[in-house]
Amino acid sequence: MKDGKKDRTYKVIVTAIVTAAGLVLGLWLFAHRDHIIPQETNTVSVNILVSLNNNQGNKSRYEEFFQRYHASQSDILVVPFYVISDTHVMLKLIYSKQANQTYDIACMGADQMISLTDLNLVTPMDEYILKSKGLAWLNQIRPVMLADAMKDGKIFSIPFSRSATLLYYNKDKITDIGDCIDLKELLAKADVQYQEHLVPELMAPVNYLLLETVAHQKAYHAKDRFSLSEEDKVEILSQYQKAIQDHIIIKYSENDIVNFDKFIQGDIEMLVASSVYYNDIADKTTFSLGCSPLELYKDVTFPLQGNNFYMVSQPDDSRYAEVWKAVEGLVDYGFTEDNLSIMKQDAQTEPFCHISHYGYNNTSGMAVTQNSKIRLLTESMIINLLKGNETAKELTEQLQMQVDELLKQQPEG
Amino acid sequence: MSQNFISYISRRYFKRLLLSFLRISILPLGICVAAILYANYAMSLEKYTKNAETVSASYLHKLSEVVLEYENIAKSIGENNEIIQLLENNQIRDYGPSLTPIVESLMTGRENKIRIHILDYDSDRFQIGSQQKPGFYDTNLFSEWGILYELLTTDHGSVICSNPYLDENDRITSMSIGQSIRDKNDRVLGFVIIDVYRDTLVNLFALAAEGDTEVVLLDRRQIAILDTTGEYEEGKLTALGDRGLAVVKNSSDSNFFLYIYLNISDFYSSMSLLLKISGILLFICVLLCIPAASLLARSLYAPLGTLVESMESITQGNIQQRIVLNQNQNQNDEMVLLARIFNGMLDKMNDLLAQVVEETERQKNAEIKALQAQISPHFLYNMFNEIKSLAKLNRVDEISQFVVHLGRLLRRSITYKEGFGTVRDEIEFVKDYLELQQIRYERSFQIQIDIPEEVMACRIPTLILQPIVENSIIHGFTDGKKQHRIQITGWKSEDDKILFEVYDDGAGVDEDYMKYINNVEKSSGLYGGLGLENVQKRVLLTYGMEYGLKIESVKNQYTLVRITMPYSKETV
Repeated sequence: MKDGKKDRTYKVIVTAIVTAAGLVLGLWLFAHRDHIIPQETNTVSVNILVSLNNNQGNKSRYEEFFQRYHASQSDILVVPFYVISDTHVMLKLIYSKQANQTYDIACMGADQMISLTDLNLVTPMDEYILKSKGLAWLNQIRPVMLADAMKDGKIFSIPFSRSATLLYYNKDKITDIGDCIDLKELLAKADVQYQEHLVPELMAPVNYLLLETVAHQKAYHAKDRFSLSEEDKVEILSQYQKAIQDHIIIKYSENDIVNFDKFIQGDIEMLVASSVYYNDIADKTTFSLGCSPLELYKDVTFPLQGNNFYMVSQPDDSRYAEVWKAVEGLVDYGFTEDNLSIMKQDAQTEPFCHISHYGYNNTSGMAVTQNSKIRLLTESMIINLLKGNETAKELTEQLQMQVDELLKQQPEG
Repeated sequence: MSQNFISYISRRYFKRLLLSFLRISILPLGICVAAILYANYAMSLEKYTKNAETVSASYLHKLSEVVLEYENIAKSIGENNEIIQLLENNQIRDYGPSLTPIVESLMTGRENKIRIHILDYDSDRFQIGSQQKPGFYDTNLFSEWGILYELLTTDHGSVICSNPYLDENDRITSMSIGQSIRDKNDRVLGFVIIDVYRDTLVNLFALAAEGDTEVVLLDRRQIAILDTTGEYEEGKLTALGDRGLAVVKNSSDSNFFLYIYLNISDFYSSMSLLLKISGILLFICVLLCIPAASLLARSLYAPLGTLVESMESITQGNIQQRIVLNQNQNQNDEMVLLARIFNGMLDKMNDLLAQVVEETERQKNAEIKALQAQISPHFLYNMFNEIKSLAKLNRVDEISQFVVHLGRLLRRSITYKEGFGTVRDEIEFVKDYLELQQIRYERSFQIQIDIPEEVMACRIPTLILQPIVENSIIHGFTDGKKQHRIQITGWKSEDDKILFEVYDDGAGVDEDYMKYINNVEKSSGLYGGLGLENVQKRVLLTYGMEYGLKIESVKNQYTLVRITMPYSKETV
């Protein structure tokens, strides 16, 4: 009887000890579960379609950026697909559904927004922006960077990269130009220097400059958004047509990787190029480098080059949260290669920070659905102009007719 | 005591008793504590809710007043003919400075509270005095989104938006109140926007503050304009969480939502303290209840435990065991009654066992006697002698009958095993016996047997009638008469009994013997315990006192023995 009681007591004690030990072990495992159980890395993988804005040189800059970005974090894996222009991005997006290829983010010009929304290729980002970033963040973006990003009370894109068109000049040989210079003044300056040295002293992407001149329009919501018949434009086109014929300007194409050695070595005195080259040029030049933003004409600037992020429309809404996470991560990391900051607070560090003090590019952009076709027509017109076969007036009138005809047609896609 | 408790705890009924007592002691206590806590919570909450309603109404009133004041300013600017004319003529840029006094007069006394912006829909350069217009008021860039878009798409009324930004003097603006400026044809010419500094709102709520309150102000799109809780970010889409006591108020035109959070931490503290105290008290009560319930359960279970132990003892063969309860126990107590009944039951059981033993003994004796009577050598000698005599007299038929009956008797004696048999068997046995005696006594007596068929099939103890018949022949027919008579009658009574009467007209029996047999249950052994006495006791033991054997006799005239037994049909 007593042995039985002893056995029971022994069993109770052993059970209590085992239970207590189990409890302690359980609590310890629970407390250290993160170390014991390998946490699943929740990496968001997104496919991003990047427009190189007709400049192959941009590819290496983007590749370098994504490389650095991936090294800095492991939450987001960006898989880039590079295409040469916004038009190609549009085509890829339109045909991606048929090709069963999924793109999550489109990285392309802000002025494509109307085309993208008309074709229902992108989705609004308001909800995500207002939830995770807020109005205070939005208000800190330099307003000009948000041009053409909004429509019908919705935000369809957020700025990612921006570069300005600058005139670099040799301050040792040319007097200070000031805050900015327009196309007419630039040509006059080039003419003076040419007359003085009898060699061209200006190197510029003339096709691009004239394309923007011709294609200039007010913001898409302005009533007169396509205004090609202005006399100023015809005058500029005529002047530059003549300057090219007279070899006052060395013309280069921005589509290629450009060699600026002549300017860097001081062989020519003026160079019109994107602000993306500022660091390269400043590092290599031995003379005092001058730098002024270029205007189309008085108070009307060249559009800022660069890309916005769009969230591509998905068949399933649940994907957007992940895509937004990627967009937010990329925006926060910041694309500094263009030397033109998106946010106001960063502007003070820019070498040409005075750009932010006036409404840069506040009336430009060809945000219409037929944008791609109009741009192609305009490019053809500029090529014809520079060949010198027809006058600027004739060509602009022809182009206007072609554009008017095009705008009557149904949108592409 | 603890030994008892340990032995009891393994008993299921004891555990049920203990748990029941624990339940009925703890449950009401718990319910009472919960009811008190809930009542306290509900009353306090009602008080706080009323307070919150009062505070929130006060806040809403103050805010509505201020918003209305600024809306009126915006309206007065929006309806100012001079401004409309300038905007119509697209001259506001040129005449801007002339408007400054108008705006400045409206700003008087409000310099540190608001900023006023008048925007030309077609231009973006107008500004008041030295203040800078925020970039997002650029009508060319932002007319498709934000407050400008809302003003363009809203019919005339004012619009209130969250709009956090830092102005050129590093002051934070939280809210913008806008109004579109339209011409007679309802064409939008421009906008007037009043930016309200964050400090203005904070001071407004601080002035209206009653008690410890926090405010979250959301615009129509649920974007936070002001948050004093520190939980949310101003300018973000806000899903308000559950924190403290909240009262929601929205403006009459639903342009904003005001969430007032009343700090009720003191309420939670007092509730927490009350909970802790209640918990401790409940715990102490539970601790006290356990031994009390145990004591009570043990006291109730003790008699039952004794009963169980006694029964266990009895099942182990100790049938002399009796339940002995506490002497102090009330004699009317059910457990005492139960113990008494149980003890009585044990006594009865013991008696029955004794009777069974006695019956068995008597049965054995009867059988022995019967065997002795029938197959003893002397009996056999007599029988064979009788056969010899019959043979000498050449009474062949009688010898034959004699041998047959003797054979049957012997066979029945050999095969006799059971204590019960049918009346038919018993009668056959008696007949054989009587036939033998008839032959032996040269048929000096008559036999008359009258038993109906329904009685013949009845089941009765064996060797019941034969001893009576034997008694009549051996003791009755000694009076010298030449002819005697034995009559055996049997019938079934209406009350389901069977009755047998054995009548002889012999010498009769003594009165003493008759009395003895008729009251044989009261004394025994006087006449050797054999014969009629044996039959009487067997019947009484087998069937009870209402059955048995009665003798009626008149000396030298007759003897009538009547046996009463229950009617029981043979089923085998």
